Amino acid sequence: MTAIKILVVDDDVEIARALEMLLKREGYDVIKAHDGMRALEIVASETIHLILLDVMMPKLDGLSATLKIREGKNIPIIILSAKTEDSDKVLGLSMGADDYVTKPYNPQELLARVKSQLRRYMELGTHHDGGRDGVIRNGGLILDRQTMQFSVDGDPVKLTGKEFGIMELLMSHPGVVFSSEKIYERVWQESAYSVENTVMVHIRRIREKIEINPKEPNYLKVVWGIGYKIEKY
Amino acid sequence: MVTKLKSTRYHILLKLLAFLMIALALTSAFVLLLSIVMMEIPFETIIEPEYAESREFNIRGYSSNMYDQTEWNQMRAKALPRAQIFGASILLAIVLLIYLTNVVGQNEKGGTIHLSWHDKIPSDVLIVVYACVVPIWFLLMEVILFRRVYSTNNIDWELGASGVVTFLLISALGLYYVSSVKQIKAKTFIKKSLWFQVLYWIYDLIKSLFDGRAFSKNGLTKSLFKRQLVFIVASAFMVFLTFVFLMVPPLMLLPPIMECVIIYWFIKGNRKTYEAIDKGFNDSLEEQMKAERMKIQLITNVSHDLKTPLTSIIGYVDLLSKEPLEEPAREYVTVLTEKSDRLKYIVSDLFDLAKSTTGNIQVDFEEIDLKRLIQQTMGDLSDEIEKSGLEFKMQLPEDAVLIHSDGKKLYRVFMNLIGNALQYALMGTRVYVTLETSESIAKVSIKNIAGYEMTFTEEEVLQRFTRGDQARTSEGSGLGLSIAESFTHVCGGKFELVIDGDLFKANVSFPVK
Repeated sequence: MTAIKILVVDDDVEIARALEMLLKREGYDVIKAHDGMRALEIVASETIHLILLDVMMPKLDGLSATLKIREGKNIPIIILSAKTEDSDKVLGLSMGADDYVTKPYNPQELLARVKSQLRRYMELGTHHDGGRDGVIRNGGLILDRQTMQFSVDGDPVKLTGKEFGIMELLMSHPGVVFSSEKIYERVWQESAYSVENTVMVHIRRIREKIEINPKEPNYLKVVWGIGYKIEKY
Repeated sequence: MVTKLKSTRYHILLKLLAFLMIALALTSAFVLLLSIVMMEIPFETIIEPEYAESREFNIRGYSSNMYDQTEWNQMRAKALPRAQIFGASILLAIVLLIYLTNVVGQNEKGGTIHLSWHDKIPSDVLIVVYACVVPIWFLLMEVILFRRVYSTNNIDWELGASGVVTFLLISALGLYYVSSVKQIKAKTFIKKSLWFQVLYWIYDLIKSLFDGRAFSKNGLTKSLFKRQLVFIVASAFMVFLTFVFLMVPPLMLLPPIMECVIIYWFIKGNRKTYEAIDKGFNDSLEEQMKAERMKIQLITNVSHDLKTPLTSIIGYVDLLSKEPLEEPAREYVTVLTEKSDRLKYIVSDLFDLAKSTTGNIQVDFEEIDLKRLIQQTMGDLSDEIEKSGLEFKMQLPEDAVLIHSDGKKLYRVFMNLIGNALQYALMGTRVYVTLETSESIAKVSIKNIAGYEMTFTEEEVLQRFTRGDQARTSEGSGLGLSIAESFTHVCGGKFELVIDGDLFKANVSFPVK
């Protein structure tokens, strides 16, 4: 089997080189490009498994490049950007990117995200349990009601009963915001009275298990002052 | 406090007593004098013990009386004691008046002058009001004494009535006197009087007409002022000419025509100046907008320019840490890792702050429950709270507290505030988190006892980059409180810090929906 090829696109030569070294250590093949046009050429001519894409670049910026790549391929794209506003993130994801990492990034976190995207792309693509009864999928999350198993990007994660219950409730309604009272009543099967802290602590524990960076969760989000939800992917 | 109150009461009582004593003394002096006159006793009896025949006495102008020594002695016996009491009364009144003049208007010796509503009436208005009392007194006295012509020799009734009337007159005049003394002492006697104010107003009007110093700095307003001056003087001259030409009818048309020319010149000139002012104003507004745009662009550019090299630094430090290194080098790399991480947080916080203080931040307003948000924040920080050794005392209302705000930014506010308490509160003390709603304002207070002496003010700690504890070089950017303040403002709330000894208190308040 040929090595996994990752395309690193950044107009800053040093950043591109640092990324190259980081990824090569992990055994990936790395191809570099310094603008959007060159990136498109490489994607067209080579077999690429994942793209790390800067936003502010000459010739063709990262967001436009994402749109162009998405016209033909569904290679995982992780956007690297110095813009930190939520709206920038939403824009990047809506263009077809799979993840959005802000600069300056933590190299180890970025590596985890690369691996997570690759696993999902390479391994899950071949799995065919999506149609089975009692299995809920959302992005890289898979929840199996029958076997009570939970996995993130193919990696099994041990959840406690209550944690599994919370995930089951939220994943059955992706994007819907649940208040702590509702979660408590549905999962604990008891009437809720000042349970905010209990639920919040559980949510935090789940985040530590399933999120790459629990402080900036991709899936399990707190809607501050309202409730909790699973982001729909 | 009690003794002071007592002494104040004592002072007032003393002054009142002095006032009444003066009025009584003067009244009695007047009544004594009146009684001597009404008993038709010549005043000479007071001075001369012997009667001299050669003297003639004209009593009330029309009757001439002759006396003998016995009569003279009788009259003297009546007049002499009255004269003595009269003198004593006058003396007493003068002494008391000097005392009253001295102490009036002061609570204690050296205190400021206290003015009642009565003392705030302009002095000239006051004198007109009290001057009315005098003719009334004359009128009443006339009525009382006129009655005597028809009555018997019994003069007690007249004396009593005129005593009462005079007492009232003297009291009224006394009130005026006391008020005037107070006004003079407070230096408002002239300044607050009506005529002075009218004169001052006229002076001010003339001054503002002809004194152009305020406009001398700006050429445009200076020319406006000069033109206005010429216009007023020329117009006034035209009015004068009109009166002069009343005597020469054919020339009467001349001043109105010239006035028209003056008005035309005035308006034409002003128009040009106004246009120039308008242009200047627009230019400066444009300049300001440009500066604002530059500021926003600067933030974006600086942000990018700082983050790009920082990304490289963090990337290569990470690569370096993976290399096999000798011992001192390994330690240095650890330091580099820590510091570059910290720098990352500082840069990130700095731009969050810069964006929110320049109003260049996206705020998503929605209806949120403030109580829930605080509970969520506490839950989010539960591990840190448990490890801190601090006890958190929560005081939240039963019901939801709905406000219109941005939950994500508010979370940042409360996380920073509670984080601040976690970092700086004295070990083993309690941190109080309260949420109260009153008069449609929801107020969150976070109180803690600082673990060190806070030698700074509320303003200083909010200044960018001011650290609570200068000596400590722990984690954090030092911008936490500034961000909390700035984010509270963009979320539509009020932020307040209170430092009271070792007590540190942060108040965040929002209007309730």
